[in-house]
Amino acid sequence: MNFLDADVPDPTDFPPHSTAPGLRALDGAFRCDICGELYDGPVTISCGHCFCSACIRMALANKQECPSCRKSAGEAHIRPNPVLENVISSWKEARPFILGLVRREMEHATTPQATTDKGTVRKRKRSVENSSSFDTLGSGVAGPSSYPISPSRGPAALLKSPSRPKKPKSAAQEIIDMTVPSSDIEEDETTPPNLAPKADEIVACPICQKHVRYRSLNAHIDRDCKDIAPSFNTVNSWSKIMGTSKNGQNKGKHKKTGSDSDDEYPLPISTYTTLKDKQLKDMLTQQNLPVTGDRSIWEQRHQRWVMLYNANLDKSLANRKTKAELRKDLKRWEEERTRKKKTAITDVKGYQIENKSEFNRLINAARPKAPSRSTIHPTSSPPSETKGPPLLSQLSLTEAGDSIV
Amino acid sequence: MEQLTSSLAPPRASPKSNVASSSQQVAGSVAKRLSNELMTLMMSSSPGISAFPKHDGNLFEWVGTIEGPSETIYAGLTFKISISFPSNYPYVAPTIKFDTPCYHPNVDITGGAICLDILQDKWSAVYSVQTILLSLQSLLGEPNNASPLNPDAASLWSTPTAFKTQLMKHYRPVSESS
Repeated sequence: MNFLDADVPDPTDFPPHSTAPGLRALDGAFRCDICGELYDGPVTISCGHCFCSACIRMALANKQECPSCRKSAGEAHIRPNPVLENVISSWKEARPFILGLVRREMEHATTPQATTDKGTVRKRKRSVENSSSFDTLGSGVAGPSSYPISPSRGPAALLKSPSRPKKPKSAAQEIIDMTVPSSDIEEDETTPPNLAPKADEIVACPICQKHVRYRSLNAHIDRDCKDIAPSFNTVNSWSKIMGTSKNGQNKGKHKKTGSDSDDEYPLPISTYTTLKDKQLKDMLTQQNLPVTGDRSIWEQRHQRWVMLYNANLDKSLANRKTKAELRKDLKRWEEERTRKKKTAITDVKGYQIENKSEFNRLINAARPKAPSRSTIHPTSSPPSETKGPPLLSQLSLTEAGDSIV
Repeated sequence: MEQLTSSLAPPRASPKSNVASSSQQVAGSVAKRLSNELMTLMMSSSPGISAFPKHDGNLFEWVGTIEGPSETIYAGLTFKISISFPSNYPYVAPTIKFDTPCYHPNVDITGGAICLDILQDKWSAVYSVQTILLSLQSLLGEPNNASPLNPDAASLWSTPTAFKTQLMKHYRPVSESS
């Protein structure tokens, strides 16, 4: 039963439509159809469907069509969707808050008491005030009382209110925050001020002024601010990057603002079958990736890296991971796969796919030993064909043969 | 079968090997997606379908049940199926077969293999256990007699009484079938 103990945030955290109209559907609408998570680096393809950048890249590597509508699509059709990305960032902040509100609301509904009822009323009132300040700010057409039923104002308030006590995440949000009148600041006093930045928040490094995640700020300073993306660099790390990049087209990076993402080009997708071992190795070293393991591991490592790297570029600057973080992700991915390999016998098909080079080696090694039976088709070789010395390797070969037949 | 043999081809000789290796996905995120699906399935309470992991600790093997849709010849019958997820799910379809013998034009009566396009070339990463089970349920009532896996069943489909006799001859209630 441990599957159900795991805390899986999903749309069903919200009550059904009859209790809380739209909320469950809203949370569902913010999720990628492939991974089921809130969009991570949302992108749009030519048919208009949205997916996480990494998810659609993986899907397109398998099949060049939209997973939702089957219209043909390719990597070239992928466009970042920064608006949706902003929406998701805000929703991530608002979600626990709204869940809390909903939970309280449900408790009142089940145990109606005088005192708690009062609380609800006050709560409602405050949200009305919220909207009124927003109204005067904006069009100011509708009266405050229209807030709970006005659908057009709902999302805007939702977007704005949770982000208020925090530092701006992007230029767009910054503008909104700048226009917030003083009445909003007063409101903040009703909620406890959240002075410490959250782990995911982007803060300026006190030394180099580079924008980094609060969570990685300490590590960043420990590294003498050296892990920086090209745009904010010191001379030191410049030479490092110039050394590893294949062509010296790193000009025009003296801009300080985060707008110069034009030097961050996506990596090309390679066809590994045509590459020599040395070339592939060079490609890995060029990206500062390890060259441990055999050739198939190199190919997978490089392919996964290109995917992670390009998907990361589809995110807005504030949400992007550093290359070091991406390398960590890649490492984790490889570790999980090797860990899985050890227990993979339960998943015979996956095990075979993962170990196909090893199986091929074993089959080729076993073939000369087997008595010459020319009629047997190689892929349908029954276990009897591998009657050799009872080696462990032969056992696994037999296993593979069994499941094919 | 075809997929299996191609996966055993030498990696550099086969153009498919590239795709096969590219579709490897983080095991952790596959597990995450599967537990997400489980949650959705439990919460949505779709009539007549259910599925749950076979063993504790292994999210990659599930067992499901499908009730025959009412007003079809399968009404009142319950079928057990097994679902096996590959490590690169959802980019590759899960392997599904009937554990309960199912006399149906598109189901292999002995092995339980299913001939359904969305489980083969028409698979899409946005499909889930729930969509599969619902498709299978509707397949029961609306077989594709053009590409039968069980030709006898396909030819008998037009004569419901004879079909029902065959169906009941092979059918075993879920409790006995495992």
